[in-house]
Amino acid sequence: MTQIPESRAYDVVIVGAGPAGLAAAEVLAGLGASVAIIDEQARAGGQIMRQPPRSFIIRRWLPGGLYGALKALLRRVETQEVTWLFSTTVLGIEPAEAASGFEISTLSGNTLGSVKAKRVLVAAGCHERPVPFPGSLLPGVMGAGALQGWLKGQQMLAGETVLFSGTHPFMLLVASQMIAAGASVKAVAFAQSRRDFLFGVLRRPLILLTHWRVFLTAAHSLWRIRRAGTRIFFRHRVNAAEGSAQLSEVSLTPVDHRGSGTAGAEDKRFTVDRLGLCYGFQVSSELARQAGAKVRWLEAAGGWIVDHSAAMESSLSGLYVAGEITGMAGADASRHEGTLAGLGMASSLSLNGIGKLSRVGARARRGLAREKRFAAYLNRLSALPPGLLGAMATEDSILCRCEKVTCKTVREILATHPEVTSPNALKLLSRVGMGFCQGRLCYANAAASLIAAGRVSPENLQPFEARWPVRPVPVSAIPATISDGRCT
Amino acid sequence: MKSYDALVIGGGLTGCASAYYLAKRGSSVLLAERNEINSLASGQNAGSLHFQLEHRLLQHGSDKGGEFARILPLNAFAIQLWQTLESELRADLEITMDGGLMLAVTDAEVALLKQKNALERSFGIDSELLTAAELRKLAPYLGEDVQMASYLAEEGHANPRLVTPAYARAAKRHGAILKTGCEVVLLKPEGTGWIAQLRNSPGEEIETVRIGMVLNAAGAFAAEAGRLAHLHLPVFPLPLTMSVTERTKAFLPHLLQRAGAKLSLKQVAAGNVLIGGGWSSRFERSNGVPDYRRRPRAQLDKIVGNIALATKAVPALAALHILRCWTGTVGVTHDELPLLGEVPQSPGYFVAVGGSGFTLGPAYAALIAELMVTRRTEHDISIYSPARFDHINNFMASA
Repeated sequence: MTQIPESRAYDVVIVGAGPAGLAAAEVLAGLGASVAIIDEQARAGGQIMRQPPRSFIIRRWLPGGLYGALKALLRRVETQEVTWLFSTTVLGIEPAEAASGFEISTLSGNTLGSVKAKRVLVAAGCHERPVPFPGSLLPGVMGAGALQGWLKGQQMLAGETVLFSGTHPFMLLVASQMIAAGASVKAVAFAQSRRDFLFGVLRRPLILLTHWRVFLTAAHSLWRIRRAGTRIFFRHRVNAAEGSAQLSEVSLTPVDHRGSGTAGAEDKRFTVDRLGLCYGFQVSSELARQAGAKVRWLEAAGGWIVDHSAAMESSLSGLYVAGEITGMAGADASRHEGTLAGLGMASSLSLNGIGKLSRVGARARRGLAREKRFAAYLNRLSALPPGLLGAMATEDSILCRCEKVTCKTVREILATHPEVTSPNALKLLSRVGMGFCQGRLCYANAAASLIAAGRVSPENLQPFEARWPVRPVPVSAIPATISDGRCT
Repeated sequence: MKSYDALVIGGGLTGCASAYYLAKRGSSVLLAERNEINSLASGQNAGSLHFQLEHRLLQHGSDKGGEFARILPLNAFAIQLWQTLESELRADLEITMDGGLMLAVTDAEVALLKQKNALERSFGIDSELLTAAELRKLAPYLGEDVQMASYLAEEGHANPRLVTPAYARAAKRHGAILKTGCEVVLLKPEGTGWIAQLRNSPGEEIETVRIGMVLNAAGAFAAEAGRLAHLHLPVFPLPLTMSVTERTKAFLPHLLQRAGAKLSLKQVAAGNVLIGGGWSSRFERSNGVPDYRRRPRAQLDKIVGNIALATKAVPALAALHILRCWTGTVGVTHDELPLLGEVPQSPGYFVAVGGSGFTLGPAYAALIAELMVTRRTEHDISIYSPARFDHINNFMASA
């Protein structure tokens, strides 16, 4: 008979060892607080710095100016006095009912555990947004970020011949990185027009000055892509991914300014073994929601983003948030928010020495304001054109991949049940969101179907409920605490 | 002013089913649901069709067991209803009635099963005691320490996500009007009937209607709904929790329960295993006060206890993942029997809540509709009448 082991207590538990979590840890550990950082990955850095295994010897890991400040932060925190809980998943956060503080329930391997904390920072990041289209589940169809993850974390090309399609400029960066690593990238296709990109910058010319480094990287990526002979398409969408057991061909179809357009004579076909998609990102706020923090739906900023104060405290006292779950804004914004959250928690814990850090706070606030302006540009630029989802999804396209629910099923349920006006009601009737991912992947597309059918407005959307466990948990990890069959 | 024969308060299973049976008998029906159809306990429960006396009815000892056995005639009526429901509603409801086993692991549970079996047989429920050897053949998936089980061939399960919407569609086919996002805000007797005010969202406009009879089918919220008519209905909200595993190949054809512990277990059509049995969740607080209107909060220790019991009964579960746990709030009366009938102090005001709301919801609905339309029922339901709580409404009578 096993028991859940007695939980250790910390001043602060940080969920997520990406830029936000690391920046908060740096502030708190520097002031002598006891800090534990929990991450699902085996090493620190988050998705943006996906570190290869320690045994790898790499001469130039993550080259380029974009990563400089982040790598420096990682190296500093890795030498600080913090408790690292890697390869560990957080299943839930329970606010203590009587006293203040939290109990954080964890899964590590096949073992349930828990840690206690006076304050919790949720900095769980984001993941790519999938969209339904014919062949979207074929092996070889991947997120652009997943292709990049293999490159960063394993120094491996996930495919030899690649096509990118989507709406997010992030594809240019991944395409250029894959070319540099030896891949043949056939094309990068955006649903937007070339003018959308230019006008976006012209509307906010200042960002060219504040974010010259980003634009320089983009220009360098473009130069490398052009030199490799990769074609760049605007106003094109994926029509279908095809292949018998594995992706072998992708067709692109021209679209109008709304993203609409039907397949036809002008389609272009490419023989590739990987399709890298990027239609923007969705924030991983389910843990903050499970704990009880208030959220708001902002699709372009990544979905259910968490409300917070200037000190990054959520509506739930003692629970802080930082990074993408407050609205997609990139790694530098996450780093600044992490610093502010660290200072906020330090101040609420009355840690000695916080007075010295007022300039750190001021610098983070300025930096954050700068990054939020750029994020507003980028999120607007990469937002899905209004007709794109409708044009891409055919009747047989899979809307919910875990439960294999097709767009047709959802449409028919909406037609026969006019009373369905919420994603939760749609879930109950269709099984959308009931599988392994618990709706993390399909929620936005289910919500889009309801909105397109005129059942609900974006302001009145409700999220799928988030409860313990926010990730699936093996039954065998649950201790047999009851030995005689009786219960209390 | 529009007028209806009946106003049904609540768009859960009992409400939608009552709207159907009333409309089918020719009544004009308006159903008011303040959320969505099937959005609370009716859609959130684990879908057991259990007709043996449950753990919660047995745990009080033999003297009480006799009292609770008064539910058994209703169970027999419900079995008939479920057996024909899919054809009646012209819908696939994933009803399986392939038998249910109530398990005994401890010696005390064996004694309980024997006593329960005798009681059930005296009420015409043909449950059958099976030895460990017989169980190995019938249910080879059971854990080794199961000593005995009581088998009832008619037990099984149905899909709670499908049953209420099917009743709602059938009610509409018979002309019933179902309003969602619609809250009853005023209810007062007038002449031989009632005047009701409804607040419809969005827009929040108030609509006044004339009503012949009122049916309170508000489940966990029945007491709140009752106060609109100046009545006290002793229905208490109870927050519960359930868990579901990933899908797996069909291996568990029966409904499982424990005789002396809180466990219900079944494999649904999609292949997932649902684990429940009455473990509690906890009310969320609003402004520091427990708020039973909010979706309750799951409690980790209760879920762990529930799943530990499940794995003991069916060891093969250990190879699966728990995908999700969820919560819901049911309404119970303090004697655990339903409230089913007309409130004596308030003629024209009917109640159908409490008890095993999923298993018995269709039966409550069929019987209450019969009572409302014909003023009598073929099956005697007088012992479930709200009259047994007369004393708390003698002061409240609206007349």
